[in-house]
Amino acid sequence: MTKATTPIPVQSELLWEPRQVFWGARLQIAREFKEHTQKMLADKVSASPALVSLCEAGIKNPSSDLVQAFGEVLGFEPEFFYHEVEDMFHEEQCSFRHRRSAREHEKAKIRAHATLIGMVIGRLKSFLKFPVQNIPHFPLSRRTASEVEEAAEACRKHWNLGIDGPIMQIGRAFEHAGVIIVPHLVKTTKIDAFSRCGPTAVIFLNKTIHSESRWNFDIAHEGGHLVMHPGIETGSIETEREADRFASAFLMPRKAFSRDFSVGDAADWRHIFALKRRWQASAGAIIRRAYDLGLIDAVRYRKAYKHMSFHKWTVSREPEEPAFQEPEILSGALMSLGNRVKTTLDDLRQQLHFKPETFREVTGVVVPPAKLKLSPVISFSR
Amino acid sequence: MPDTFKPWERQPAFTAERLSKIVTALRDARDDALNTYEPLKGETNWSLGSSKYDRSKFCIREMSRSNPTWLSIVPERSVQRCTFAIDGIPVRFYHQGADDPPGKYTLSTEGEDRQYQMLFEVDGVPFFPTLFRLAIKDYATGKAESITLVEFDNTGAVINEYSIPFGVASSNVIPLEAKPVNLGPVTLEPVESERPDEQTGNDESDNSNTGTK
Repeated sequence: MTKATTPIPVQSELLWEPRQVFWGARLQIAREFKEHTQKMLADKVSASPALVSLCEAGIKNPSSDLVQAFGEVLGFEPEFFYHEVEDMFHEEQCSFRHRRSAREHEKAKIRAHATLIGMVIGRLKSFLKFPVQNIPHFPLSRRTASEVEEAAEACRKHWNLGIDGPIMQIGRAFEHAGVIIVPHLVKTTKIDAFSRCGPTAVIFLNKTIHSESRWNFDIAHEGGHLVMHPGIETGSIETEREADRFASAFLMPRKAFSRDFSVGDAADWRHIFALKRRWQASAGAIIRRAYDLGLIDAVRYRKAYKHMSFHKWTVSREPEEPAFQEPEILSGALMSLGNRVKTTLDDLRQQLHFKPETFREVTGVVVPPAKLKLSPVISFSR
Repeated sequence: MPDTFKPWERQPAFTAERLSKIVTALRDARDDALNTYEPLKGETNWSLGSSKYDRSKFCIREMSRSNPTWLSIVPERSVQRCTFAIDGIPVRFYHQGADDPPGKYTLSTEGEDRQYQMLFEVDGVPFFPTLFRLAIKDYATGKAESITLVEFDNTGAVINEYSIPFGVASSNVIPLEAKPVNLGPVTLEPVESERPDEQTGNDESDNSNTGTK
């Protein structure tokens, strides 16, 4: 007679059951989003960095308790790691508008953040009808300034914006074309903006530097990458210069801008700021545009730049900033959950397997604690 | 000095229309002061001069309020001093012949120096190394006869003069300016399966999940 043994409840102690394949890419995204190195993560889950590396590479399948530990440290439910990344933000799809001193881990975090936002948008698309992506592509063949000008003008015409007037809500011009603009990013002054050209086109805006006119320019700059550089590796001096020129031309089309600029005195800052109010671009961008179009000479351009440097306008907020139209698609979609659509924010968070804190970090929206739904039926007491 | 100088060719801000508007207002203000001048009640040439000057300052200040796009008052340390700017270019006025300016008017003031720095100036070298003055000449009766725009070089020598005509008609040409493009917000419609059911009385908890009311 054998003695009945009680099985050790290893799996049953876990509140979840691993069902599918562990996706190492998800672990990497989560780790990079939380700005952990493999060693830091390994220390926190009492594993070796080599094991973390093997898990990320998909060579090793981690045990259930290790996955749970990963989730706890990184702010995700364990199920998060058992779904394929449907729309990974690859490096070659991404463009950074950054300073040379921007660190690699900051860029990795932003890419990870973008991929997580992509997941959120992917889910939201199953609840809401997003605008169809309508980004015209004008790859440059000659790569000349005039070709960039033509691309910007063609883009404005494609979106029925004309090539005469200033665009008062630059973000909406891109949002109508199906580009999602995310107005929060890591807290760094090294990276101004980031964009991704892919199934979900996204522009990330860094609002750490508080300058509305710069944000407008950043959106147009990233838009330039989406229009001119799909499938092209960006980040070189040439591509950044092209995107800058595109932004200038998109915000301030040459003919209309030249006419406005020449009406007043180019040497008077009040005229520059009047143009700033009208064209929603920074004084720096206006001066540069005037120089690029040959409306002022190099001496005047240099004097103007020195004046701006002296007042620190080149690195901080300029006077007379225009009103900024906040991006609306993502925030509008999240706010409609539980209102105009049945699914609630908490439902979305659970479907994504994000922990509430992570959901807030990714989307910038706090998930309110789910209230108990009261039944309208009151039972008779016995 | 031959009157061939065209101020607007030297400074686009100095259009004939603007200059005329300013000098006409100055003339009227000064003539008003003369009309109320009463030597029989003890007023003297000194008080008349003071009144003309104060009225001139007042009328320039009022004009700058109604024409803020091109005329402004340049702040000066001395409250008695009147310096104004046409599209940023500083100008002062004095009561004397164009060729015979009072010495102090051939020097730039603190306010003018600051104003020139605003004109793309940071490294100590004046961008426009000349000064502009309005020289007001009166008839023997005290009424304003002519007002001349005088340009001085940095040694105080007159290099240009332009007798400004009074009462040049305002141009009715409005610069062509394209209308700004205003875009409406993007609206997102829910997919069919996600449309909420007909509103019932117990949907409060649904709304609460959005964090908005």
